[in-house]
Amino acid sequence: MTTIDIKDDSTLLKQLNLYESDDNVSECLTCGACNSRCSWFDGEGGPVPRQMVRMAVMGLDEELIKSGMLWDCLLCNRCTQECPMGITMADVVRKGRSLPDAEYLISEDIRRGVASRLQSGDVNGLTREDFVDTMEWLAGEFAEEVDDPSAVIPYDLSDTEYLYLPNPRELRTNVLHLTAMAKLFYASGVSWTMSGSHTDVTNWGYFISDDEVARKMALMVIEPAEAMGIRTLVLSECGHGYYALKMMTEKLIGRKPGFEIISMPEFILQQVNKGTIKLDPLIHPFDIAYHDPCNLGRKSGMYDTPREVLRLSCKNVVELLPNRENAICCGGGGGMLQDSTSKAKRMITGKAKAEQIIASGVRHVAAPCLSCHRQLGEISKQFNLGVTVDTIASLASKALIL
Amino acid sequence: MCPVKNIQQFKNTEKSIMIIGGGVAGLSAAGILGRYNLAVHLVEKTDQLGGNAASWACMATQACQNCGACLVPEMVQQAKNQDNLTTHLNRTVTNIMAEDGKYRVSLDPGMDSPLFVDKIIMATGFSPISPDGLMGEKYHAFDRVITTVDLNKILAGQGLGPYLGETAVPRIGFIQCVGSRNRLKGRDYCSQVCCKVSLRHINKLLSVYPKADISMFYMDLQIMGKETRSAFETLGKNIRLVQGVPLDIMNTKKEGMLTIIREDYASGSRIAEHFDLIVLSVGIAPGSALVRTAPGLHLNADPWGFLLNPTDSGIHIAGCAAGPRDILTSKADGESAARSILKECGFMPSPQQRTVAVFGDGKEALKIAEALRDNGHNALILGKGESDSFPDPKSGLGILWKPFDTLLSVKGTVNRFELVVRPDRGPLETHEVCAVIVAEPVKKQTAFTVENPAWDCLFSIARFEQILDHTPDKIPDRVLFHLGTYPSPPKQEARMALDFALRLVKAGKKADIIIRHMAVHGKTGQKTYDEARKLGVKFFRVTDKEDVTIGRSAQGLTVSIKDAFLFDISLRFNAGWIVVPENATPSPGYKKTMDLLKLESDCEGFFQSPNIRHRLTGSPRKGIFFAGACHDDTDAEDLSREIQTILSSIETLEQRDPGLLTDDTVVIDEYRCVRCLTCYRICPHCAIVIVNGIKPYVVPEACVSCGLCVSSCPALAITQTDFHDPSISNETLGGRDIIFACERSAAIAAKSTTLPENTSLITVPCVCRVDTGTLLKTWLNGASSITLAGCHPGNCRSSHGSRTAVSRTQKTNRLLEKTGAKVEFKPFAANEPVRFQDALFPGK
Repeated sequence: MTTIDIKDDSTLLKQLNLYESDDNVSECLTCGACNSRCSWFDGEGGPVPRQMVRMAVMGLDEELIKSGMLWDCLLCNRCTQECPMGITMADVVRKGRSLPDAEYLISEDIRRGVASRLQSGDVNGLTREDFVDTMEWLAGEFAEEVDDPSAVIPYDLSDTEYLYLPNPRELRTNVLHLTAMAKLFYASGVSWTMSGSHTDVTNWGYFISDDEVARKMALMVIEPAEAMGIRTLVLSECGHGYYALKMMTEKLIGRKPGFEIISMPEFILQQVNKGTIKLDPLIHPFDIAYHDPCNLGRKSGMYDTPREVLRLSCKNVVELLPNRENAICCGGGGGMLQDSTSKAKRMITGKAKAEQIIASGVRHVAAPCLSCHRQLGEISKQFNLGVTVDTIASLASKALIL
Repeated sequence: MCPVKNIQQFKNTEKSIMIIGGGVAGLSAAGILGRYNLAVHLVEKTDQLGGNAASWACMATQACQNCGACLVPEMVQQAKNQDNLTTHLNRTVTNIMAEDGKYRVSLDPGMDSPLFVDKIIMATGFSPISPDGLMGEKYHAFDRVITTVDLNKILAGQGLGPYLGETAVPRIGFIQCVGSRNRLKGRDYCSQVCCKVSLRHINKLLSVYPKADISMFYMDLQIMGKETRSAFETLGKNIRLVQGVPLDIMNTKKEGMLTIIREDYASGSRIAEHFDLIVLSVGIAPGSALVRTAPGLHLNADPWGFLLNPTDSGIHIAGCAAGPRDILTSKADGESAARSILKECGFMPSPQQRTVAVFGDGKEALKIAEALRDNGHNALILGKGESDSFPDPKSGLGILWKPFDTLLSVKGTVNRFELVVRPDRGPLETHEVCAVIVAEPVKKQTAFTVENPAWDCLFSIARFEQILDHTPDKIPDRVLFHLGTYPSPPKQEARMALDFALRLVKAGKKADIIIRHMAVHGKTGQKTYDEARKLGVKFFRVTDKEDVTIGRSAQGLTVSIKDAFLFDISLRFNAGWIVVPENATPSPGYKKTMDLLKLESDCEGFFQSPNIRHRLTGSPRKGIFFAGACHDDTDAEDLSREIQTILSSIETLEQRDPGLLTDDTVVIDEYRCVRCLTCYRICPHCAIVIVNGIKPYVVPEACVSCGLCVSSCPALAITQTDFHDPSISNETLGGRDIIFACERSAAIAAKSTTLPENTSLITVPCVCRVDTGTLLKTWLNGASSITLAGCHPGNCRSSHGSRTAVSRTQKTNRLLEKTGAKVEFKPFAANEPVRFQDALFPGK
């Protein structure tokens, strides 16, 4: 038993008690509902949600940091989805992570990624030269893919309608995903481009909860895009990237960006509705389950658009239970997937998702987030699910009727 | 449905009253109004009367659990028998307009003409909250996730067999606060009754499955009310109490069982637990959209939709329409509203300056006396000289203050009590009073002691109040309120502590509160609690006495608290003062008062009617009432309501309208009477007085016609006009099964059963009406079996009916021992038709 002096005005408590905004951990009713909804479920270790709030209320910043719960938290917000007092756990945990004394908790990978991103605009440190090389190598592949020698993946064009902001993985380990996206733009006949100056939809400033870093990262995307004169920024399928750019930007940079921000599934649905592209669901004649990424669903309120695109691209979409607001996290959120040492933990947090997939009986799962995509692939292997995981847009791309 | 009367014909000849809502509050109002020359309209939106409580199960196990649900079938039956009551089933009120001093009420489906009424009682009740969100999803997904409403229906019907199968050790989880105490859903109030309901359910389940492994998941435990508290102390040992309400239920973890996740001390993490059945204890939501449909009435509702007291004097709000309430409070509300209307309609001429005695000389007694005075009565306060805070007698003008006189005897009965008093000095005095209100102070005992009693930083809440009011400058910067004491502090103490903490933080000081079970009372309790937390009052949760350590330091007090939500961490801080509640225990003087009043104390030694029919404020003796902390765990708000109820009861007591139904059915034949005074001695209601020296006389106003005196009179001198000795005693009963059924319980339960062909059911006013002679005669006439079907112990209106029946059964069986005959006593409640059928006609 440790004896600790309580603090009435700890750094964390002051930050979380913004009374006027109702964002107030002191109001916690201690009902404990959050404990029953943690995405770690009964897995070993991990956070105890109510305790994090309680520590904040009692001014136990140091104990909260030492507990390790701040970075075990997946920031999925499932625990506080129905908090009777409207407390948002991701806010509590992010404020905790942002404490100066908590800096040492940041994993080496994330630390490095943040530095690279701030330096080069890409978490993996991709340089402009690397980007151009990749694009040139892809050009031939793409022309072959769409069977049109004149087809290109455009980059650094000005005054286009759309700018596609990829996930860094699309420029390294998963270039096929990039060509699939390019195919959708190509098929829809819109004016679009990519940009060598910003190749990264992610914003790890969100994970480390350093708003200044998050702001810089957001501006690194927004300002050059504005200079290019685009009308719409299309984000690669990335949960936290969407949340940070779409939901947080205005607060971070203090103004609206000079263009619209949409996600890839939104782009696809718009084009289908305009009639510029057509999809054939019979291309995928199997049962496929939709996974709600926490950042897209619970945190950004996007539930239906990706489902609609999936329905247009696959013959039979089934639901995992529970879903939507109550969906279970893939187990890789909150920066865990970005930390290469977290595999063992992610296989604990991923267990509930695995069980959910087993219960549904499907062999195919789709998720509009490349992080979820990777985590789902790993848990499929770990738990022998034999499940194929795809992103929504890549399925739509395959279902294109050219 | 009763035929709709043409209201126009009443319009100018008599007053008409509309009661909206046929639940407990509406029916109890109708029960009173129906006895007067009034046209009463009862509008009910469903196809039957009784409201939510009509489908509730009897909670009695070894004894009655005082829920009051069994009163509903009786009230429904009574309503059906009232000629001046028109019941409009399947109808809703669509519009109410004030018009020419009356209310024009339109009903849907429409009538030929709208109704014009003089007064309206809004008894629109509540709706049990339907689980929503994730819990709602789970409720609909899993058969074995049920609500307390479902459980009531299951227990009233065939039981849990289909849910639990053969298992003798079912694991059952109760999840409290489902739907309420949720600001996000706009229901940030405590529903007040659900903890009590769940505790009764658990008690009932344990009687069926004694080995059941039951867990109760709670947010805070609302175990207010003395009986609830003592029931909890007993029950708490047989069940597992877990703080924290799960909000997710899964079926993926263990075959055939439901799984929840909760935090666990032992492992310091989250663990999964598995249950055969999960019961969601659902809260109470307002049941009416009347504020919108009756714009002309200027009705207002609180933020949750419960109706507020109207400014319009013609409108009365009763029952759960005004906020969450239990059955007995709703009933008291309905009766109170009805009595107010009687007064407004001129059925109660202004009081004739009669005197009401108030026993007790504390603040509560003074408040009651003032209310009596303000309503035109004389108040006589009789104390025991216990109060140190009673004000100068002169300030209570119109109140006769006798705190030091000694009460020697209480003679007579309702309307004519004679109190013989020995004054401080001088000869004996006799005061004639029409009613007695017992409001004697409780004995207060500090709930927390410190090492050194000389500490000058420990205060009771009462003492702290004085300091806060008079010398607030003395209060240090940080004050700790310790409500984690044993047993849980009285409601009023908890409420005051919360209010004071709030006042302190508003004045720029720090306040901390230690709680164990609950800091939220009343409809607005959570608002105060929320405000306090928001303004920085810290609430610590403890589960054990050892969790709080207080020591002395240079700064005042050093407090160490093992907070229930943190593992292995003890929280330390300094405080200037510690303020602790005082527990209420029965004052040593209560016994004497009870002896003088010929009443029995409850199991805890307080004043409380053993029978729910007299509650909340009544007693087995008409004209004797209980108020305040001497009978229940009441706060100031409760006391005001109790005073209103008692006042209206006293005013109706005073009037013996010739048109009223009377109870003068029991008559003593003075020529046959041998003056043995058995009747006088045994009457549970003290309805028999001695007149002309030695002649017993039954006072009709005080008699409830139980018939105990009739069946106990050795000279057979007492007769009961509405119930003759069963003619059965002279008949041949060859092979018939005879059931003597109490008219209040078993006979009502029997109404919805089909009796087997060779069974005769004889309705009796109380099972104590059946004497040993009748039982023997019935047997000699050839009955093949005899059953006395009475009330559950503790639920007999005449207090001792069931007990008397049991002893007579035993006596008869001894007498008939050689014949092999057996007379049985079986207890039932009016709302147990299924059990009645199963117990008496198994397999039929």
